[in-house]
Amino acid sequence: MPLFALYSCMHAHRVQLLCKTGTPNTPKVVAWLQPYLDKVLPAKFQGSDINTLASAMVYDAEQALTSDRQEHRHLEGEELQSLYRDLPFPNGLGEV
Amino acid sequence: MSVASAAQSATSSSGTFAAAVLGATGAVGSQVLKVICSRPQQWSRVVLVSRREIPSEALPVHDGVEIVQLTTDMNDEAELQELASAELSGVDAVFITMGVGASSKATPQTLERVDVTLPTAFATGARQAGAKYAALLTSVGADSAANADSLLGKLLGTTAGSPLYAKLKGTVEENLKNLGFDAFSAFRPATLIGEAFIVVGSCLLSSC
Repeated sequence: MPLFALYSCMHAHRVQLLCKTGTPNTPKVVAWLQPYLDKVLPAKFQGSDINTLASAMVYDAEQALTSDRQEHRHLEGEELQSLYRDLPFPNGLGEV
Repeated sequence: MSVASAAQSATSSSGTFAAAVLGATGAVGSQVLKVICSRPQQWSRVVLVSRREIPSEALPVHDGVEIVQLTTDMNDEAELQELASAELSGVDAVFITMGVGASSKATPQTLERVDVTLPTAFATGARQAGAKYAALLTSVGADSAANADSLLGKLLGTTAGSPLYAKLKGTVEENLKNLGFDAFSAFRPATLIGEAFIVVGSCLLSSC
């Protein structure tokens, strides 16, 4: 089989591996384990995906500015997890 | 004051809000920028304040959202405050995601400067310029009353989650709360997880 045909075939069907990479403060092994740990940890200590967190920050700003909200709040634990669940555009991609 | 400014794009937008981001080159800040750029129906302009300009090819797609970059060396908090006060006119919301990547390697002085002094100076300037909303990224357990001088505090030093870390995160929250923003939200996540896609097919081919 010519090489270009092989390349074309692989390109069309290439495998994408979702890789948890952690962050400078989160070692890779914790990133892999976190989804399992989240099932037993209280909401306060559950992990946050950086894309979802960023979306939550932007969404919170939009809500505050649109409604002229006047409130100072600290979002952690169940309140933060609940905000993640209610996001209309998860994964930081702006998809609705 | 060594400040460079560059407007990257100014196409038509229906967005009504303008944002400023401190820490847009970091893990969370870059995602905040990406989300804002993906919502031109809400956002018309975003100002990035950082030590170095992000190359245009590294910026997310931002059709309809104008990106303005301001650079400053971050050595002088008064200069940062002055820059924010002078340049953030018309900005509605500020996002502060600045922090030390690997905090355990930082000195207490560096940690305090990056986690408290600079964000406070930036927010003060933004508030003076008229910003109404501030979002601050801190950490679970943030507590301005944490005892950094305790035995545990001395043992853990500047590690994420240590009493000193919690105290500094709590202090910056208090500082921003007192600046008089209409709305202020402190986000206190626990473990932060990032993800990336690795294209195995391409990896195999490039190694041939």
